[in-house]
Amino acid sequence: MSEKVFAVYAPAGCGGCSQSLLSADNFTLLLDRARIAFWATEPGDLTQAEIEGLEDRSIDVLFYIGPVLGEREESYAKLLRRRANRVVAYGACAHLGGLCGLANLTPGARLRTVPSLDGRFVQPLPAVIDVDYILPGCPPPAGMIERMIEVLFDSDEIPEPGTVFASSKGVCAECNRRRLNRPLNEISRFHLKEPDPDICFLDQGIICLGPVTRGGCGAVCIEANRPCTGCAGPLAGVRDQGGAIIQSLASLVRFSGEGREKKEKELLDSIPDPVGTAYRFSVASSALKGRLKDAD
Amino acid sequence: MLTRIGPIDHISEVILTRNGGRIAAGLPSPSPDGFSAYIRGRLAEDLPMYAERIDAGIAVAHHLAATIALDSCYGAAPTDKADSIRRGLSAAGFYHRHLSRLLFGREGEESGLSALAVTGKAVDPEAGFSSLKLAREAISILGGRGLTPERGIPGGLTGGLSEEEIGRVKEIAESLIEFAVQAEEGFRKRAAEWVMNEDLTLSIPSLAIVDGSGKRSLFTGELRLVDPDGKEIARGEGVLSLIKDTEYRVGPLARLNAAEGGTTPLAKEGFELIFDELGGPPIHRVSAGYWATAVELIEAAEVLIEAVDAISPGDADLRSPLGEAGEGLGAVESPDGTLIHRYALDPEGIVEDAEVILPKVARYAEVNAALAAALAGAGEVDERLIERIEAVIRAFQPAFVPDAPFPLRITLRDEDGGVLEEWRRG
Repeated sequence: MSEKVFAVYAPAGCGGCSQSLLSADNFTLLLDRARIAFWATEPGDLTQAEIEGLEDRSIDVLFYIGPVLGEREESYAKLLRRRANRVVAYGACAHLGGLCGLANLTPGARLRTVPSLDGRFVQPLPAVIDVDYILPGCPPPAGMIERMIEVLFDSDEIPEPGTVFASSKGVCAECNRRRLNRPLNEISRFHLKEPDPDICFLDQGIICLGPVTRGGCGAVCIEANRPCTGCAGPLAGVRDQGGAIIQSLASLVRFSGEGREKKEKELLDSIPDPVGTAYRFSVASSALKGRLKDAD
Repeated sequence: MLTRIGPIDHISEVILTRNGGRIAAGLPSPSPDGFSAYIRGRLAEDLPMYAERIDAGIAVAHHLAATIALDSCYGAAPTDKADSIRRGLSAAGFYHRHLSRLLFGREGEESGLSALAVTGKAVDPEAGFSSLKLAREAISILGGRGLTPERGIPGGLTGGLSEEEIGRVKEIAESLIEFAVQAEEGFRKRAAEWVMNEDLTLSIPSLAIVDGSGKRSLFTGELRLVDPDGKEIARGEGVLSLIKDTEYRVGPLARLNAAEGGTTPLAKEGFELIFDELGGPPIHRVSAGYWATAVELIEAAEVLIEAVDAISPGDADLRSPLGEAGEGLGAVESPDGTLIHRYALDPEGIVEDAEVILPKVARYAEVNAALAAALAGAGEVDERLIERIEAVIRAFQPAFVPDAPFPLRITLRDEDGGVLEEWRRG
């Protein structure tokens, strides 16, 4: 196997994805098998001239970490695309816009200090360039990273473009809780009501994004008695993760008798912070994208 | 362009501005403007999850600061068991962050693993890597998820540890102590001399968190601000109004200055060695922060063992009853320095307002003050001035090999922001 070349571009990330790569069990294998073209984690680490100095397709695999923010990042992403044979959208921000995407809903809102948005929205990488592979999660779980390193750097396999290094099944397939199929007749919150750790959150009225979220994480948050936040993005074939969970919740609401429809509507209306709950990591890649234009 | 593993959370660029006949230097502000607008309307119970994505380098500390602020918002003190798990989690977070910065803060000239930690062979790089993974595993067991914990709720935690998990964390902590002691010795052999020769000194107030008796804490407690002589200026929430317009130091060096002594035996010895060599406290030699970081690695592992010894297995006794939602504050020591979260919730537990005071803001202000002192009176940019800037930045970036190269871009701009000249180091 010839030596490969990889690069890490992460100036708009929170640092979690870069750390997740460094902590992967087979990270040393990556170092043994491949040379680093560049490793940029801060805005000052890479200039346009430096990217332009690289030959086209001289990078075998580019790990793009963080959302695309503003004009500079958008033009860098396009330049980097030409230099890389394969681009991996690494982590929820590159994949979906991530938590940063919620900033699209409020003028002046920022999750963290970021370069100016130049009046643009937070965008996921696939909205700006063609992406070959997706490594989901916030940050991606160790198992998924290790599988990706193995496939891309320790095999002759060239995965199909569009490959998502996660499970094709949903989080529910990895969850050990019992599903009782109770109707959803009240909304509870996990800090106010202690959830039974053996019963499905939805049976307890606690909103969990497991049914609409891609698995591969081992349902680790649910194991920690906290409902799934949806960080790995929608299931295969589902475009709008938030819309899907709202639809799924609506199908669980079942009142009987007089005033049934009114009660159902009231229950759905009683969901606190519906947008933040349903679209936590995926606003920027959803049909919502951003209703409000940012002030700057 | 860096063709080695990128350093964790480094200062990548210094901007020089020609203003009349004078040259000024500075770092861009890392203040998280816009967080309050971002988080308004979100669920209170999700705050620890959002907070840790502000800066995942100190994700554990953000998670805990948010959780403690929520305790305060709901008037709910955590149960003893939840407090012990949180304390252990904080210690594991310290270890992970400090070791990441020491391993990846600088590299030798070679690329790859062999260059990750070169402390005169006193520290085996492979052992460094495996300790990093062990610290991550401890975070994962205590916090419910690796790197970004998930268990924090007002008044406690969503889940506890099994007997096997408690045993595993203890086993990990013992291994982490062993590596930390070896690493600190390695640091002293190679780098203590560098610390003593690197005389960048900045006499400013220090902020840290202390326990009821003024002792240092790697978790939560009371804010304490001391003046450059080490005399207490303020304690508790009164500190908040004072730090708004003041340059102050946070982090390992500030903890030496603003809190008393080591609370664990091996770390106590380590801190005493620093004072024997450098005098103090207080110490204002910036590079001493490296040494303190290496000792805190030992301290974090010792605190982890103490904390895990106090944890009983199972999910019982992890939640305190909650009061009405309101306003609250949570302050913790993060590995990088004091971190403060303040929230206002409406009665339904929806966020109305939030403020986060990041250690990075204090650190950048400190760097800027050091740059201003180093450049005082400079009217021209020459090689000597560039070297002075490089020396200032080096003093603020911990590493096992402090004299190894690191990436830095220095750009000279005109008053309108146009780039006049650029220097690239590392």
